[in-house]
Amino acid sequence: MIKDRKRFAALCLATPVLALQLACQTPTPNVEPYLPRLNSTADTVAGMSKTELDNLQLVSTNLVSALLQLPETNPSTITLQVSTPGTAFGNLIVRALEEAGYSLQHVSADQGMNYVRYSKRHSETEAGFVVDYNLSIGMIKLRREYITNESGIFPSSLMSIVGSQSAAEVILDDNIFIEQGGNDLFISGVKNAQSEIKTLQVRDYNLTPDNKRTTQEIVLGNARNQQLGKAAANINSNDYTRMRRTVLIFDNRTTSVMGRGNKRAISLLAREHQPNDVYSITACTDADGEDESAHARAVRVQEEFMAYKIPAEAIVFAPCIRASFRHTSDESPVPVTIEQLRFNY
Amino acid sequence: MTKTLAASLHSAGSQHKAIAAVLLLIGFISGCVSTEAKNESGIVNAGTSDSMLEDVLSVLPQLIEPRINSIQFGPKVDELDVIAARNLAKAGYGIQRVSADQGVNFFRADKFENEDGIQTMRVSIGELEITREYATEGGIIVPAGPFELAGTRAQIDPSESMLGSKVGNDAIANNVEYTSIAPIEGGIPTISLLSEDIIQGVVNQATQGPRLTTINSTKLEVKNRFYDVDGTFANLINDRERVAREVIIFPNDSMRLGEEGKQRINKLLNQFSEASDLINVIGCSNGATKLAIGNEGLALGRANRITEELLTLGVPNRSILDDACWSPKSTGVDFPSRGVVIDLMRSES
Repeated sequence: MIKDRKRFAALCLATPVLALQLACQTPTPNVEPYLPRLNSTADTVAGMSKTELDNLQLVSTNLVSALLQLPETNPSTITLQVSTPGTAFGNLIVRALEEAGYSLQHVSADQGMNYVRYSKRHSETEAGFVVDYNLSIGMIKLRREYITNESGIFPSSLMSIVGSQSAAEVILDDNIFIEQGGNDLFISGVKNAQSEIKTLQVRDYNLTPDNKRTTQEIVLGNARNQQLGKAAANINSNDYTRMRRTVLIFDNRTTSVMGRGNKRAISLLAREHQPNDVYSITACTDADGEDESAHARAVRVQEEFMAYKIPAEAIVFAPCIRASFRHTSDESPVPVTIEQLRFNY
Repeated sequence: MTKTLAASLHSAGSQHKAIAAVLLLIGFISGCVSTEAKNESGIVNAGTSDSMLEDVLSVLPQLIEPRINSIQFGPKVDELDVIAARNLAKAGYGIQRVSADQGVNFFRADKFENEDGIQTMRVSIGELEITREYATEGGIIVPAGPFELAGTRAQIDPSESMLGSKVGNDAIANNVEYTSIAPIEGGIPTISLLSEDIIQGVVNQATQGPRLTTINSTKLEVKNRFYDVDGTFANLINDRERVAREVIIFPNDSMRLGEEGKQRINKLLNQFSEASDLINVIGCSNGATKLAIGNEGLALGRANRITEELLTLGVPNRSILDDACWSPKSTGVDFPSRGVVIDLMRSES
């Protein structure tokens, strides 16, 4: 009896710990990173595994990164209308749009010129079971088929982009699929585009640990910078008269925060904007003439001008001027020079 | 481990089995309870900030049109950001998450509390600021002061705010006061003029006579209108109609505005429409002066004094074009010798 009591006492102590352990053996993923910050519907992802959610995140990232590169759907100039998502894919698409920096207006039905529609369809094809995912905004329609296997999800078609004049210039960051590892081939590129269509090989050794994979934030950030940087025009300086010049100071070489003073200076320049004015931005003053963070600062300035409805084409990125050498660890403030140029009629 | 648990259960009596089963169930529930407690925003007991922020934001549609405007939120999401985004989305604004401080309507909210327990909520959206004080009465938050608006002259009806009904007949809390926006730390970068005529003029001018340009209150380089009658802002005002003009005469060698000057500004502002108007301020000092700052300093100082007054009365910075005119000799009829000309320029569209 005493022995029984001892056993029972031990059992009492062990039970809550074991119960907790059992509960954790069926892990429920933290769904927060997959859901929109506003008006999410967590019940649509309840019961889904992390792998299923990651697959949907790859697809939504892939589609939204292409959308970001189209001038018609530039986040600096467009507001999208979304309704409360009713599916897991819907939640992940809206989250990706949030992460991409789109202004989202939450509507009760399908109000608005730029209402976001999406769908996921299962198809039985000669290549097996595929799922095609669609995303459309106004006249712009993106579609791509994906196939799921034991390694993850992979594209099984080119991306189709309809309704944009610039579909050919979209560069897909399909390396995010390779990081899943496996032993497969998949096709990468945009349908009917002049850009190169490639077959990408996936190997077991490509398998990348979760914490080392390219994040959604990075993919979307790259796509955004690519679109903005590309929009900058080249001009013949003889056609223009220099009007105004200012030097913005960023706190350090890595920050994108402009601060109120710099923002006010841009608003004053934008106030005097005339059609056909262009702004030449010199963000790079490194002696070696190459600087990614300087490009990011130039893009940041371009974005600010675009917030005042000044077209991306009105921004010119001036080449690096070899004014100084900065060590990579140098965190001192950095200048960005802006010159306003007016077209000589 | 699971096997050991099963063996222990088997060896214990049936009564003990029942108790152990209950403990097991409690273990499961307690293991899961923390996830159920989280709400959508991840914020629990947001507290009094909710009603203060909601009250301040409830007047925003009277100042910035929802449905056609977006509000930008930075990457650092705090309690006030979450409450604001939820409310603004409900009001019909586009919500844009940005990676830094991008956008014309970038959102910031601050809450302060003084030693008397009066709390202040300040919301900045771009160059617009809305501030209000609140007190707690019987556990309920009530407005304790007027709405303070900066960066706008737009009229709002405070009784339409969320807590408007709790104000009662309190004349102060029912009021709207206009003020200037908080100073910019580090200032605004100077914006220089680069026109060839200016550069050429500077070379020719050398050190003789008054300068051709100066820096105004917004750190924008402007031309001396003694030489350039059209002024720096000609392309902003040429297609506008002058609907009112006030000339404020300052005493000799003075920058004191005086009561009469303030009244004249108020008179002009009664006609000001934020959507269509720009205010061109031309500070003048022409003729002899004994002051060391010279005519340029006086002209600029006078224009700055008027600009400061306009900003204090809520006129947005973007609506003010401050210019100057100075010379050691008197000009003709265009500008007064020691005053400021304020023109209200209205867009025809």
